[in-house]
Amino acid sequence: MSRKWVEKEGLGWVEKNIISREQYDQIVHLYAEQKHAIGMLPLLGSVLLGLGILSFIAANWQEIPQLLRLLMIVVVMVGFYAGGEQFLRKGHGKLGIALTALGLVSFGAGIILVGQMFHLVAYDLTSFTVWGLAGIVLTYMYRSRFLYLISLLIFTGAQWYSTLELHQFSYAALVIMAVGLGYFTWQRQSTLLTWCYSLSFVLQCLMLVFVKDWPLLWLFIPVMALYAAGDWIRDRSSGYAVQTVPLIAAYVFAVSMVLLWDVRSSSDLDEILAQPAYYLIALVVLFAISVLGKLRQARGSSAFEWILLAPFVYLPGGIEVLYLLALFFFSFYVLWRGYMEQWRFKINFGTVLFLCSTMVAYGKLTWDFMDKSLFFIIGGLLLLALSWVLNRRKKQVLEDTKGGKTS
Amino acid sequence: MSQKTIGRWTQLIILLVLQVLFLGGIAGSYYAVGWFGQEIRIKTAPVDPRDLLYGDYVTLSYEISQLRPELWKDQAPVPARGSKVYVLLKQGSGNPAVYEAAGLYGSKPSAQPGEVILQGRVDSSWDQAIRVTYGIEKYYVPEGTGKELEKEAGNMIAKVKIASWGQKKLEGLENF
Repeated sequence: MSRKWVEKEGLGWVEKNIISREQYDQIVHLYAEQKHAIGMLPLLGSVLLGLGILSFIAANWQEIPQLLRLLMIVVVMVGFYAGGEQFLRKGHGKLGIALTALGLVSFGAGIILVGQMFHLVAYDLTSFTVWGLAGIVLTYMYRSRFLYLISLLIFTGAQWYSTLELHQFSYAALVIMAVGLGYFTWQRQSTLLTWCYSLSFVLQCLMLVFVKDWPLLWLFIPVMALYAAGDWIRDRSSGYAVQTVPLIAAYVFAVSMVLLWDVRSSSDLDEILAQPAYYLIALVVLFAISVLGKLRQARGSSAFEWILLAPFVYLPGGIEVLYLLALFFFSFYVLWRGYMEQWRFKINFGTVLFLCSTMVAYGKLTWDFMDKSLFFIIGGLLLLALSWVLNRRKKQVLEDTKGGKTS
Repeated sequence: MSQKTIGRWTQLIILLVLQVLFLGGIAGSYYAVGWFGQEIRIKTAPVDPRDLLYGDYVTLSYEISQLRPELWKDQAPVPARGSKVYVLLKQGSGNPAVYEAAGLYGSKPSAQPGEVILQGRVDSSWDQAIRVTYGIEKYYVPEGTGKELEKEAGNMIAKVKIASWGQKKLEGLENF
């Protein structure tokens, strides 16, 4: 809380006779500003000093012997870590964590520098995995969300590099990240962390499928395994945070099926279709695990979300219509649950999904059986009417809950 | 200070020591290759038509990077992309005396005097050639100095040190 805020609000409390004028002065005095200002001086000083040293080193970097460069990076790394710990002990939480994060970044810089010193060619992600592992250990030591996100970024970036440059996928890195950071996510039950974790996991699975040239459908086995895991989390909002990204992936797949089904060729099919027997068995097993979890947490009705995963793609015909219906039913379901649970995030999410589904339908179905201009007019009116109704309902619900649960 | 904070100092120190050991270990092992390794010279070759200069390093290719399929000495079919192979190098008679590929094996062969063994990975293989990478295909240069080297890079002599435990290191480039 800032002094300004206390000064302003406090006057209101005095007027309403909650506190006396003397108490008001005493409270405001607690938020004395000069203490803060003096604390900032050494900090600003050290930042300036650090910047000066940094620019000096950067300007002369090429002339410094390599071994000395490595020693300097090690010294900087130790300095950042030790400084971070010192500031944390003195209660400067944010600054301490920021310095520790810089220490972790210096470790990565050290790894890259060693690679350059000896002209090394990276064959795999071992050194990056060690880097990320250091990040995970720090995350647990300081129980810090910031360090968590940096570690997640290191693992995701490393896998991306491996996919693009080395054309291979590191299972070890994925497992270490999934277990190491997954357990932390589980403990913390933080929506933000869960979202980012889930996003990174799905992206990495996508990279895996691309690197290995597997049929695209295989993506949904690990992704829906993550979804099913979300059903076993008791806390509703972190459970849903885990599941949103897998659902978005399934939604995007269904949309692409609707839009691109016409232009497919048989070789495209090979790229999409997994071996039906294995794929369907795996999907059914995951479905069972997921539904079991849902029933235990008393949210059985959300099993309807699996409609996006229905393997229409194996059917001989009518695929785009079925996927389109699945998109609509799913969007309706999310919207409906949003209103039932009075959950702002779901209402917004459902609205966006519903508008997207309408657009997809609008761009797709018409050409065969309706005059284009008529379709545009009807489609436009439909969208307008729909968004008006949805917005009205949304406002009502949000007013009723007054903020309610946020995402 | 509480017990917990002291505990975290110890944890931090352990983590720090491990990180320093990791960096120092890699650097130390490559310094050891420089001290104890056997020095050989190999001829570079022009790289496939692509940008050689990649930020702060130059991509290299060697004569021993592209091998004739006859050099494959094992009974098994030519290994797939990504698998480990051993390349037997023999010192040639020219001046300067560069090492040339004499055989390609799936498991480590024994080397006679005047021969060395380099471990590599199959990058690609087709009817006419097997491409092998050794992990010495990058040469880092100070920023801005790569352009000149880029023109020469296809026709130079690379100085490589090979340690008895198989680790290798690109020491430098010389004009042919």
